[in-house]
Amino acid sequence: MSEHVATHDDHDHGPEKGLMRWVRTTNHKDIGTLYLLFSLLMFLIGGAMAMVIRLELFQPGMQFVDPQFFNSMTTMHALIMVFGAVMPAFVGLANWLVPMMIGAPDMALPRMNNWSFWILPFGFAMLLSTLFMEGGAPAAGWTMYPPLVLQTQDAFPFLIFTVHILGLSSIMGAINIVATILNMRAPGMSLMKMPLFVWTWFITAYLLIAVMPVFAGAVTMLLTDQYFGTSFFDAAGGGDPVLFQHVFWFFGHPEVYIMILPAFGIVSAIVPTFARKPLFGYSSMVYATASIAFLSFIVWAHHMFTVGMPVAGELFFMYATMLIAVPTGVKVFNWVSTMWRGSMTFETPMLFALGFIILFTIGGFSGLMLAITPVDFQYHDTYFVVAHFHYVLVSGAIFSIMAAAYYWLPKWTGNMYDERLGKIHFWLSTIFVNVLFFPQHFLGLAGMPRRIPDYSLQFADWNMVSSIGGFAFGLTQLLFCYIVYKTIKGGQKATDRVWEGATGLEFEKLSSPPPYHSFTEAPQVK
Amino acid sequence: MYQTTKGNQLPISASNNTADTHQIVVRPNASLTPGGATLFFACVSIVSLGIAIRFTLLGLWMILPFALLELALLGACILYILRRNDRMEAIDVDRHQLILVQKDHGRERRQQFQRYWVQIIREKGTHAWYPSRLLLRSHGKSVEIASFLDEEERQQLEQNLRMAIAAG
Repeated sequence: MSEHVATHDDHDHGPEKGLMRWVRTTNHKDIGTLYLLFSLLMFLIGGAMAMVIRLELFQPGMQFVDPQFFNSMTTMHALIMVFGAVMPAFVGLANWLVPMMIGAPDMALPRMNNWSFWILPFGFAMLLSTLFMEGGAPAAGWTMYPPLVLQTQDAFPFLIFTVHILGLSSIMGAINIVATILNMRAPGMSLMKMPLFVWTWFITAYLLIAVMPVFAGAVTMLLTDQYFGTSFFDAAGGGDPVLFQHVFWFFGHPEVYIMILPAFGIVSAIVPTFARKPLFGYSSMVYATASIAFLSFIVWAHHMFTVGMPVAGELFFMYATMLIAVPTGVKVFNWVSTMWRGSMTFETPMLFALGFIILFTIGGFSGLMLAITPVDFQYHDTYFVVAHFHYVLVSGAIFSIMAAAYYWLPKWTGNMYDERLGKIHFWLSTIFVNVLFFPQHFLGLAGMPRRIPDYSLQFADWNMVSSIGGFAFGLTQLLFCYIVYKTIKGGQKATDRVWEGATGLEFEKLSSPPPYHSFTEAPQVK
Repeated sequence: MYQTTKGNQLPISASNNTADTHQIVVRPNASLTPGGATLFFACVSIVSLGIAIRFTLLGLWMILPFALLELALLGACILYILRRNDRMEAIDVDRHQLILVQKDHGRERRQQFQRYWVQIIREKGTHAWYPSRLLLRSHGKSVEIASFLDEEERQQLEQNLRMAIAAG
């Protein structure tokens, strides 16, 4: 017979108690927290691999690891940072923020949300287990170009299966975010009233849905080439290995924007708050984001100018790539215009947002240099490329995630973080990220190839500087872990609005921390 | 009789309330219209299938099955959401009776209870994902209501319903 579990006065339905709360939860806040903590763990693991890379490159000659393991480290570092740290961090932020920003009580498909997260740890456990397999972990680069990747030994099928699991998780996450944004908006929350973080995630989710099958198909064809006698990418059987590069980058370039568009949304939330002015050019920001997403489909071959391409093709991809500077410039100018004559203050989230704008723009400029086809013939596969994409991904994407963490952590926990420690974290991160990556421009221009464990003597000085920057940047991130831990444990109580200039439903309508179930009555948006 | 209206409706709304009569309408929060859903699915399908077919023509046919699988999942999720949006329950309480009208995917079911005998019961759900079920019960007849609401909304409805039955 059924059991009457609560009286009508029992309205504070909170989370389940114990560890199983986290396994069975369908609450968007719980799942957002799981994603964010998981991505922090992956950030530390991927960061430890980066430390191995910088340790080996500290001096010329082979010191600590053998070349095969070094290549495994570069490959695993990239896979873990892209699919384990940056993407889950943005999905975690979306889980926490999208429902609160649009006035929804939860995600549209809460049970699928639970699955999306919980398949991730299995995927990464499988990927990390390859470190202990015969032949070692995958070492052919995150791009998995054949025929090199087909030399991977026991780890190969596990790599492919991991990619499928991560792809499935991403697709389910993207569908959920799209469904939430389309169906769960509060009355009055029209599309053009949505916060930019929601817009950028909506467009990101669209990109994910569009390109993930391409990646899944490509890696499956690698698998059948290896084990089932097909020759999709095997020249001996009539296939074409260069075709894999086209397919990979058709996925890979939108993937790069998948990792940066939500960052634009975060910065667009933070800058107006600390400039105490509304965002300049909201509509143009939306259209610029959509333009970047569209252009991401037609620029993939700029990653492979040197494979041999008709001049017309090279020209097309060069000009298409340069076009991206237009909508990206619109964004940068809008952020600067928002700050123009604003009543600016420089709390930690704003510092990280400003760091993002300046350093991401440097990464954008080196990207423009790489887009120039004849010049790229010299830069291709050198440390200049490594410097470029780390400026975009570390001081771009990861700085934005740090900014978001400082900005919304008081809202999530109800406690203010330690501002002094936050500022120390920012300055150390900013100084050392430049010490780490700026010299890599010089190394690349001087001709140092990427993915090598040893190098000529003329590259020694800047490699040593870069490694010192790397170790210091890595250690600084432990301070971030401490700040987050300290904030979760306690601290000065945050107000509901948290920041004087903060706007949006999560700051105006919800307490700090928000109730376990928020917006049980849909707010009216004016 | 009752229209299942779309577009940013509140999940629980009360209307026509007087001292003796109360009407509570419950529907899932929905900002997505069937037209909007179709447009979105078409936009995704054209791009996804266009890419997959182009690659198939280049000999890379394995992308197409993955694109189809993904679109099937997306389509199923959208259909599920639209079906959930289409549900509506109206509860009319007057001096003597409680009339429940449940509309689900075009089907309308109308049930009548005596106001003085009807019980509102919250049972434990079958799974942690369904913490509780809300039932109207009278004379051996029991009907589940508001299964499409989240837990907090269901608790709010229970409170509103108890007040409506107790009033007058």
